Amino acid sequence: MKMRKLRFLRDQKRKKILEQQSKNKVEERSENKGISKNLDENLDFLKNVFGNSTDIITRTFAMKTPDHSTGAVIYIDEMVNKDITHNYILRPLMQEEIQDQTDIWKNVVQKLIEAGEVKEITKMKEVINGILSGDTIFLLEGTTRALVIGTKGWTTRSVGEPRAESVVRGPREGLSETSTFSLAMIRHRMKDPDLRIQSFVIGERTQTAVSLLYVEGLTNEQIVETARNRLKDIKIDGILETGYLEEYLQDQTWTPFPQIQNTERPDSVVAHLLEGRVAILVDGSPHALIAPAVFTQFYNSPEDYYERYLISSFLRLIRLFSFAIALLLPAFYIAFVSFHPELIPDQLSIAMAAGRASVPFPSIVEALLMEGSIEVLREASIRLPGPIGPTIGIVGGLVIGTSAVQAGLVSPAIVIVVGMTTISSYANPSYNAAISIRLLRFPLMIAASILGLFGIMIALMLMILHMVQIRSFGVPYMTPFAPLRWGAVRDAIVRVPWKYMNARPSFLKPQDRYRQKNLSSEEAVKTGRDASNDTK
Amino acid sequence: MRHLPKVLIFMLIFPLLSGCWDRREIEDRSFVSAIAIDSAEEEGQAEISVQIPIPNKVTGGGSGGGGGDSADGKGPSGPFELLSGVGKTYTEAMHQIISSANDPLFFGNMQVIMISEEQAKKGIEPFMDALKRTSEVRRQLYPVVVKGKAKEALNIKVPSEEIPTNYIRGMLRSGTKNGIFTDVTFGQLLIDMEIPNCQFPVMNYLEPIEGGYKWDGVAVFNRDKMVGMIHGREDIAGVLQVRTNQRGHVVIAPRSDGAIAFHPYRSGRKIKVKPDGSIEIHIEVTGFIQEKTSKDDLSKVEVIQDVSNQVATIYQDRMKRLITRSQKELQADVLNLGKYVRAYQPKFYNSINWQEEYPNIRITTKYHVTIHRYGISSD
Amino acid sequence: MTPNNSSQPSQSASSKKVDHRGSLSSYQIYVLVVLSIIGAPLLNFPRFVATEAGADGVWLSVISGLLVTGFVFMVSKLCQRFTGQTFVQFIPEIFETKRMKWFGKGIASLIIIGFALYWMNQISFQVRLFSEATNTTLLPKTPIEVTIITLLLASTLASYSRPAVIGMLNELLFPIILIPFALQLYVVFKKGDWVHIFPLFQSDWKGLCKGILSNGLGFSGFEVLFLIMGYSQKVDHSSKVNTRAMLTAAILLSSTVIAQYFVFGVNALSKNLWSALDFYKEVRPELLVIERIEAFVLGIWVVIAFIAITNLQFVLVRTICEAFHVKEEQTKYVAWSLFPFFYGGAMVSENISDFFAKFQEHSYVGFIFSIVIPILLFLLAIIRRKRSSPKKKDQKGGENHHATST
Repeated sequence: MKMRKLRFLRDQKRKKILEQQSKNKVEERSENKGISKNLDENLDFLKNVFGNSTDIITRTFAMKTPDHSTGAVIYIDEMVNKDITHNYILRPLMQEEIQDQTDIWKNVVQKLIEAGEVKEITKMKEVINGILSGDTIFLLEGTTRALVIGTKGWTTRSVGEPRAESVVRGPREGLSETSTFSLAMIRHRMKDPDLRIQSFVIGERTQTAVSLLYVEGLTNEQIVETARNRLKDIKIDGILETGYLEEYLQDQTWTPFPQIQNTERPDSVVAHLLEGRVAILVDGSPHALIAPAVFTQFYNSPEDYYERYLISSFLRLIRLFSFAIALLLPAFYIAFVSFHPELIPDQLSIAMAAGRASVPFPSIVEALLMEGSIEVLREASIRLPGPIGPTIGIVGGLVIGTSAVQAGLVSPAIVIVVGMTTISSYANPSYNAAISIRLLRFPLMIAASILGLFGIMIALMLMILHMVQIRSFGVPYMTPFAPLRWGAVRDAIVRVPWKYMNARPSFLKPQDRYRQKNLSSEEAVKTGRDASNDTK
Repeated sequence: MRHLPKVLIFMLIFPLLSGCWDRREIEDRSFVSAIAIDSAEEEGQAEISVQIPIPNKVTGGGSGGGGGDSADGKGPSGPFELLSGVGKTYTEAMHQIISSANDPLFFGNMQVIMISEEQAKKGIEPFMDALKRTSEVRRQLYPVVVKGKAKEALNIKVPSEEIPTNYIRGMLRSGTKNGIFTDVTFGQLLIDMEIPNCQFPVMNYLEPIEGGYKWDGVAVFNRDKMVGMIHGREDIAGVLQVRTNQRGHVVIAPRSDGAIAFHPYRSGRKIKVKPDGSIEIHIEVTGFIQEKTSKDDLSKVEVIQDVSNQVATIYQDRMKRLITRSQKELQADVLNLGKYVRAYQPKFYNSINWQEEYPNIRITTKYHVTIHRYGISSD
Repeated sequence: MTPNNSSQPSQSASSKKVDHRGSLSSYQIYVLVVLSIIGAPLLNFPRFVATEAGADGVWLSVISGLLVTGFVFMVSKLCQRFTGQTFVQFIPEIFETKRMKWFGKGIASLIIIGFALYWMNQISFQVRLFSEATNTTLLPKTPIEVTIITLLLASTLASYSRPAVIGMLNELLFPIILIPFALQLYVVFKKGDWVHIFPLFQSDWKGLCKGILSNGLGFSGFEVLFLIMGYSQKVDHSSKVNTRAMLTAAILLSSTVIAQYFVFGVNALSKNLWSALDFYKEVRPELLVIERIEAFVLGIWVVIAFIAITNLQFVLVRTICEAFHVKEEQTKYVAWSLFPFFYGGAMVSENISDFFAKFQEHSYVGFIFSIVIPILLFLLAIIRRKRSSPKKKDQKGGENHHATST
């Protein structure tokens, strides 16, 4: 108790200091400082703020006005599209003649600048923000205004295939690190004027653009509101990846289960938007967060909706099966070998006993040893450069497995078990869920080694209890199974044909319930309207 | 972070707990695949032997296979151990075995209980209680009575299997599935033994022969003592069809110029009990003709009819013989009819002692045989 | 990892008493009732019936199942009169007197304390029963204390969750629990024999009454309705839901009884202490990877044990919390402080015979709580025309504090 209090006090103190610091910084960069009439003063101020950073280019020049007024263009070297800055901003500013001395500013804005995105600003802070986000700033002597000209154009990676979520059938393009591109990809797929993109700037220092996507009139307002509020509450110094946000947005921190889905597929984003979820994009990350996420989502692949329903249903069942294998097989192995050999078919039990005869460890140690080394291999094969990775994985697995068996360190059965487990955990389409299963396997193994089958079942019960307690943006994690939503169960274990999935998932409480409107009442019954109507 | 201490405590406790109580690795158990109960020289004692396969020597499991060395005819004939103990009860005998075994015995995978004919006649009750009390023991194992010494029957060298138990298990399993051996498992035995005043269990009877075993009918028990047996596959048909609702063996009907083999594939029975205790059994057998060495033209309806009638008569005669034998000679309710009398005429049943009254019961049987088809040949 | 790490601070109500009304859907109530009834009886009920009612137990179990269903209908009618109130709130209302306030309150408290004690006993017995079964079959050398503590730890962890979570837990586990009943059909198909259920109609009147009574006791457990009806979303057709739930439980339990009669016959059944386990041992599945299906069934029984005990503990904990107006965050302290009592109760019996004798006595006491008191309450509520006034229905939150004093 005392510890907790002390910790609390310490946190409070730290918070205060942090607040103070950031305040100073903001004041220094002048929250409210307007743009001065004196150009030099402005330039000096900026130089002060950026501390002579060499990548900031300040170009001062005289314009062809009757009195040769000075102007300045400021930008960051590699962040702007130089073509635009040079040809359509600098050249007209320096070469076009302006006869009318009285309103140079108006002339500049209306005639000279040949770029599309132009905004007039009056605050120094906006100037700074503009420069930092890759725009070009135009300042004019004797004016308290500045122009922000959209010239963002840094080098980016070309659109690539989503690596973690590859599909056989379905689009091959993945979201980009540049959120504007990503947004474009989403817009390209969903030409709905109701698609809302709300922007936030999160990160006191990184000033990362975060966009919240939802469909007005479809997505439940409460979910949008929750997302909005949670985003607003984040006061962190930097956001580099969606992972930062994910941990701030999720309802429950102490859990191995992911409560927010991430995807790098624009089609998947749109599909989820259409189901009534919200998506969150972070500039600089090729992933989108999707919330609320329920458990069933983590063994679904976008491909399920592209292939024919029978195939997808079959694949889903396979995935569920592999999910169970990945989670339980080692634990069952331990329980059977150490506690209940009567459950193994008798010929097999003799073979297993023979295989284990030379093994000096109990089965739990054997299993931990093998599972541990396979985890190491897996981690190592990710780090290994390019083409060697998989090779080393296979070679390592084969060589270590075979020689461990030959050396009598482990039994042949555990090699099969570990192999099955590893392969099964790869069958899971979402990486973060697969990892949590890999993790949960160990407590189950330990439970099995203490109390056998009974231990496994108790551990499983606690796991299920925990899963039931989790909520994601207010939606219970185990929906549609608990609470039961028949309408949505059609898309949980198997996937029924699209025809019969007319209702959007009812647990998301979408404002617009049906995908296809104006169905006759008869068809409506068939397509699950009745089922979703009785749910609140 | 506030959960860290809890997690740490759990992580420390778990490895310590693991390895307590029931954890015993598979290789540290001696799997008993069969036990044999023989009568010992001393009065009221029995010799119990357990067969324990040695995993490492069984081919397919681990390195190298190969049988044991039975050159002198004394040692085990295959990759297994045979340990014996003598005692008045099961546990007493088992104690002697345990004290000579390296690992604790494990009965979860036991397949067969072999009882020597001699011991079966003396009574098996004292050796059954421990088995039914242990939850490890499965109810699906096969109790059998063997001719001669049961321990030696476990030590027969079977060419097709390394462990003789597997041979017996396979033999009984397929035999019962085909409906030619009585489907008696340990569980069924226990159920049969619990009907008040009608305790007539039966078990399959095996005779060890060179290189295997021969099924030789069923051993009939009165309470826990074997009172006799019904040999061969002919008389057994009644037991199979009435007691366990199986179809029975092929029947060969002699014809004027050859014979016709009738292969039953389904059999059903209806048992009626009159208030005075007399029993009527109707049995329907359906089957096909497997072989014909006579000149009969099977494509004629009359011939088929004739053959079925003949088969029915054969069945009928056998049944009559069986019932007469069971009432006169064995005085044991081989067909377990007491169960039906008790169920349908409880008043009558309670007024007599079935166990003793059985020989005086009037039993009539009626067969109806249907021949469905006669194979690919057109006649 | 600790499950009850209830959400973020922004969501949980800080220190106010949370109103749980309307947190259970009809289906959840249905499942809760079914699972509360078919917990422990699955293990010992058929044998109990066979020894108490003899051969007639087969059909008597069906009859008493129907009778108890009638009772459940009555109980839910009673609860319907007090929408959104748990029995802790409405029992005082039923006994409320104008002149001697302490009298009504006293009687009400006595009844509630009685229920609490009964449930406490019930939990102890069930824990012991399941642990005995586990120890006999799965872990013969493990001390019984370990299984009891493990089971209790798990159920206590679950028991102080919000009613909604308990509802979802039940809902999620329900389909799993139905699997043994499907397997049961397979066993009966393979090994069952008609003859085993005969002869019927052999008992005299006394025997019949005893049979019905002993059968009926197996169905007790529906008393949880008194509490959970207070959390129901839809009270209007709850009597239908509850009756259906009871009917389901009765069908499931009766089918278990009948199936075991079919396979064993009454004599072998009454001789088998853990008949429910040996039942599944009778068959050898050809297609399964594991050698015996009883292991599978045992695994599911752990689930049943867990959920049955959790439900009872939940009901007990909530009753105490409602009675003493315990704050939501302190619920868990209540749950954990009860732990030693359950453990002590489970360890009271020295051996299994003693345990079964005590368990039987306890189930006769259960007769009072599952049948006598509900009738009494129902009659009193009708005679005294007590029901929650419609005005109260509109009030939400905070009402819980005052319900008893109006």
